[in-house]
Amino acid sequence: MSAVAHGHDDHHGELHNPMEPTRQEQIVMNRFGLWLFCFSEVFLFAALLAARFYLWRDPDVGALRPDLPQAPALIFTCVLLVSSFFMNRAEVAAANEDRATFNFSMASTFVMGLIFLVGVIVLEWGVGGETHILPTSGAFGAVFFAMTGMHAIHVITGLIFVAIVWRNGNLGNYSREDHWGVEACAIYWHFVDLVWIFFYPAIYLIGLAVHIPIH
Amino acid sequence: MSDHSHPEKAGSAIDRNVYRKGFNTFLVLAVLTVVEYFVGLWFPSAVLLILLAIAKAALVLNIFMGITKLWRGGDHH
Repeated sequence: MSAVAHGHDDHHGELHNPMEPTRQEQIVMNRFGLWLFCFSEVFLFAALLAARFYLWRDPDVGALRPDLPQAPALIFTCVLLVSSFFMNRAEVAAANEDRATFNFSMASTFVMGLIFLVGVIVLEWGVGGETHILPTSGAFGAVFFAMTGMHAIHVITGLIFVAIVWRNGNLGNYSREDHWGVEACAIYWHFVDLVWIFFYPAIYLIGLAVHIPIH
Repeated sequence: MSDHSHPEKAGSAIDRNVYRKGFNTFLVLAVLTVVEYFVGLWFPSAVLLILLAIAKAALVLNIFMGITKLWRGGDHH
């Protein structure tokens, strides 16, 4: 007798092959895989943090940091935080089939993420404006651009992810029972926020501020 | 999302509580971020700043990312 014949009737009235995972089991595996991916990313960002604490220090003074403008960093950190709030709201809305809230929240997440990205590139990197530090400004410059650059790449991929999920939501691809796409997008976006939670104090707040000559 | 939305469900007290939980978490994170900023400027203690970052990370991991779903399964909303 075939495996299908041994199967049981699922809630859609179709025979389920017991050898194949159900949708719920599939989501559990997907979730585990995504968390493993995030865990592997932790090593990358932890290495950048280790480089920051190793290279930005003085044997006599202790931890150092480049003297960077504080206000934009705080504002953009808050913008990223607001985007995380809207992402969470979008996930809850998807779980409740609240399409209006989902659309507004995904749009807000996208816009806030874009503001953060442009803010880092224009104000923090000084592209097209006043330059505070360059990638060639010794260990400070190299580490600063490695940390913010790697994070910015993740923000860009997150924005693409948000745009795709937003579009799929509008096409009616998510339901109360199955909105894994939204959940995955939310986990990834919050992970990007989580990384910045550690990068922000490491870059802007911890240590004695020193002026970095631009060359 | 499917087209057959449930407005009565979307506006229920349970959903408002879940939305409120996300908003309250956001408020706590915002306050901790501002505290972090002033600690960094006025009382630059690396240990305190790292503790604040860990507290914020724990909130994001638990409430926004729903890490407990890994061992509990299901939907945390």
